[in-house]
Amino acid sequence: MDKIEKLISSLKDEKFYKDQLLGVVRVPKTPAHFSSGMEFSPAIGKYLKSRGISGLYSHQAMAISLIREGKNVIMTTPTASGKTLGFNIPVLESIEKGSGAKALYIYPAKALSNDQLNVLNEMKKSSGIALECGIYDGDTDADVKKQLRKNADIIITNPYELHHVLPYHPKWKDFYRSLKYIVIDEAHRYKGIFGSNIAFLLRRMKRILKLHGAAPQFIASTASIANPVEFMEKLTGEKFEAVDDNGAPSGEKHLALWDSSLFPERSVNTQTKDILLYSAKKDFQTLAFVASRRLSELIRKWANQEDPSVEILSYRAGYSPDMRRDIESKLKSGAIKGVVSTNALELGIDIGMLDVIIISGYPGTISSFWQQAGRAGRKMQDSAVFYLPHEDALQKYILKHPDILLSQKFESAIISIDNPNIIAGHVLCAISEAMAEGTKIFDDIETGPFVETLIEQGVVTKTPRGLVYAGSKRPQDVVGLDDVGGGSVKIKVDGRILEEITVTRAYDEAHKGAVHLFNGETYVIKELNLEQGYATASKEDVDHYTDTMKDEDVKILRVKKSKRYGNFDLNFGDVSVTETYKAFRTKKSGKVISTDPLLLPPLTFTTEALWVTLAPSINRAVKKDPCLDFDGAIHAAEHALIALSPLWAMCDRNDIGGRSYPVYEDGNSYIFIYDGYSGGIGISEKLFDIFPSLVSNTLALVSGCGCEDGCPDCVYSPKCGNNNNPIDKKGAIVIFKELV
Amino acid sequence: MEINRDFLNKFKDFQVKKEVKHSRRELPGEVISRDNMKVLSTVNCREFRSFTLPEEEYFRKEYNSTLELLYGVRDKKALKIAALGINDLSGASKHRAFSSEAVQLLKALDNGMRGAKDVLSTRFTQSHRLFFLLASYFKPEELLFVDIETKSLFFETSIIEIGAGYFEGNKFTVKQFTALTDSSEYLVLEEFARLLPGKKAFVTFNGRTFDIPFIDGRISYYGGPKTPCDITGMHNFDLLHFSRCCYRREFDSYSLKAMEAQVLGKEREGDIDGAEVQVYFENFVNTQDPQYIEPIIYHNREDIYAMVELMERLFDKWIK
Repeated sequence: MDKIEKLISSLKDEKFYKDQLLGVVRVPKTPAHFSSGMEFSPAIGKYLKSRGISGLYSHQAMAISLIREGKNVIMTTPTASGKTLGFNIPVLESIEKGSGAKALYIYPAKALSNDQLNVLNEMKKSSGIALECGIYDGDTDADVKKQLRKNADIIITNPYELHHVLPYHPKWKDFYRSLKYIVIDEAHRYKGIFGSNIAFLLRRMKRILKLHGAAPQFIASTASIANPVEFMEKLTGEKFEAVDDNGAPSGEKHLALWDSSLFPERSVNTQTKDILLYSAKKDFQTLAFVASRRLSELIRKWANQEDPSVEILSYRAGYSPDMRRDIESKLKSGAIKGVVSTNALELGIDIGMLDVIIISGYPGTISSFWQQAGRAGRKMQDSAVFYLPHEDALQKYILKHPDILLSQKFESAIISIDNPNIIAGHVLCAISEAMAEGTKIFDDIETGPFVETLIEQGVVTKTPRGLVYAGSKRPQDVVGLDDVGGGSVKIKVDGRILEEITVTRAYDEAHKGAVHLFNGETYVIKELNLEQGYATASKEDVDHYTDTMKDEDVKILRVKKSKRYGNFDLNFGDVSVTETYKAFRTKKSGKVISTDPLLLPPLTFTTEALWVTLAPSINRAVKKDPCLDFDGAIHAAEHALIALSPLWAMCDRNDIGGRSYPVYEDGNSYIFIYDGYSGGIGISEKLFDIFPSLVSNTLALVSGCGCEDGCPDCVYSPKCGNNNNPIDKKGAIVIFKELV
Repeated sequence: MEINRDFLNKFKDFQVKKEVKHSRRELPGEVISRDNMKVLSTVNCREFRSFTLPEEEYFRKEYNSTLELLYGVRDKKALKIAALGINDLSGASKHRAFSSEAVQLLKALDNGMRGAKDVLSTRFTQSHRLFFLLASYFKPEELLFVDIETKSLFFETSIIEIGAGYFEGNKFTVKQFTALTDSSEYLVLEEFARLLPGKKAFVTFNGRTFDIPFIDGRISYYGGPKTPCDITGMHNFDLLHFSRCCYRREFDSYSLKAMEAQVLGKEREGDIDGAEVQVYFENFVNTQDPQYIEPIIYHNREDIYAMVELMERLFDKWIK
């Protein structure tokens, strides 16, 4: 029996074991696929030799050829498959040619920018290619910035810096006019609201570059997603070639499926600590991923208390860069055996490979799951991945259906380029950066009607020279890359602004008495003043949390897409949602301590939604059985659909809302699923496209659940404004059987 | 779907109707129109009998007696050198240890203001007295006193008014160009540019950081200047920096209004803040009522006159 097998089987003798192990699934090892016949300059050859690389993997070679041909390329191979080489080589080759080609590397996080700078400097040294590169961001000195704009061949930056720097493009003309490549690494991070904003930021950038006579090639890399080409086209407005056939090798992985609820006296977090300690003590390099910063500290504390002889460290964003570098290198060198981390370590930071990965709490997407699991497997050796789901319908569903994980059918990364507020905000930024000749601001987006409205509202004005920005605020300061552009509420602590959040979020997290989380710290809200747009809070260390209960009412505004199925209609379009927050619950460790009323005005916003109109035959099918309650059935069905939606759309169940109507305005029965953000962000549109799959999987979830009348693992929603009442699980099953 | 109104309102300040004291029936100046753009041009003059710039000779003398120009020489060392009987660069040029350097420093003055400025840039901050004394290389009529009013502190928003003042003998004229619509900024810039020929230096208050880069940014925004001029290359006497240096540690605030009160002993009655200009402008655009324009013009004009008087005071203090 090999080491990993032994590790797993000996687990059963431990005191924390009570048959939680449902099974171990083997993920077979994959051999390396090398390419042959690729030619490089002697300088590049020298660099490869210095790194001990005798040949490139097939996907690296493929990427390099396509880039050399001038194509836009998206690389979607897993973590640690050597994607960086795939773009660094062609970029350096261009620079070596001496034609003055330059490149812009965009990274979502500072740690990654630093890593990349080190890689480039190393390449420069080992290859001998003359190259000037540097990081250009908020921490860069003004003098260094000037130097880089003038002389750098490669500039590494982040989206926030770009957003603020675009108006200064005359100062960038030396760099921009020679810009040949834009490299977007970790591009999957640009999804949802953030992604939608970045999509427009890049279009603003392309517009400015066009003014300077540049039209660069795009090279991107993402974690595994289902729709790389579609995603990148939405993100950049360009056509891409996908490179997704992974040629890098990996060892066999033992995926251990662990149901912690089978030992209810020990919480899932305690069991995470148990496995972590057990594995580290046996000298296996172990990394546990947990859901929050607080948990990472807590589990480490417990581990240290139980056995101080084994060094377990925690890792999270919020630690100083030095501290994080220290832990990263200790992991890489093997000096430390156990680390418990948030998903901060999921990003491509180099920590080498490990023996055991514990995934405590499904990270939200299959893609993230494999990014975390991808850390396991040293030098083609066997490794173990423990999956410990938390109490939640989706998480438990995946536990019972591991083929979802194994099929590696990744979710689609969602970006919307239709949200009107996001479009308007970036149109204003663009016009302030360079005058617009007409109302067509971006090549591939319809901006005409928006510009007309902006002129009408006096924020843009027509002059004899062109369209000019006429607002009195700097648009780049108003448009936040993380916002969806609606009203906002400033959360103040001791008179200082802690955070600015959307009004929709404020209703949920910043009402009086709410516990608000920011940067790992808890704050209790003292007062919410919606009219003036602020909330006052005080920093308090509490261990309870709050959530809200609300009613929603949905009105259909406009149908954009329609499909007819056997016994239901499926529509997608614009809706107006009115949410009435009734009360909030104070909870501790999952138990409700108190429920208090909320006095807030109703919140109305327009967004996108899909809705299902059930044929009367479905109602009859449920009503045939006197023990079933139709109202409860349709309510349960709505909850279950929302629970599983993240499997297709890379979103959190909190990003969408739902409302079921046994009897709607027209007398029919409706289920609505809407995007929880003003203007919509593309989730319900995606769900509209894949609806049949969603339904059949939801049926499997609900009918496969062992409970009698419904539980959090299937039809109970943690966000239900009516306290999960009425719910009829059996009735929901009937409905789904009809829908399939 | 529609754009959220609350969101759009974030890009502009709420319109606050201001009650104005002086009510006017007409605009206080001449309206220049072109291509649907409308700019108000106002002219105002005052006499400044005692405004003079020092002679070039004075600068040379002061430059010569600044031993700190020698590399590594600061206060204490200057005293030591004085003890050796060296009082100025000419003296130093005769001393073996300093001669080559001192000779070079003195030779730099052969290149006029450029030469002097280059040397000063390597030794002192821009607020140093000698930088101020570079004014001796100019004639009063070569100076252009500039102050702008804008929609915000950021050049991504537009200029509302440019005020520029210049000397002809003792007569000091302030010309102001105020946009009357949102789409008239370009005409303001053009009218301003027509004042530039013959001007060799700007006098501003915080103009190195704000006014001049702002104008330059807007000129670039409209696609470059029609009249070839590099305003960022022109010399700029920024009185804010000189004030801070000359009146070091005397005051809590060095804003122009504060300097006016503290140094010139003047208080303006009923003046508005720079930040309010945008609100008045907005009110004018919406109502077309001339009463909203006067406060903007008054504020800008007083700022420019204050700069002239302040410059005189700085000469008083810094010229022995």
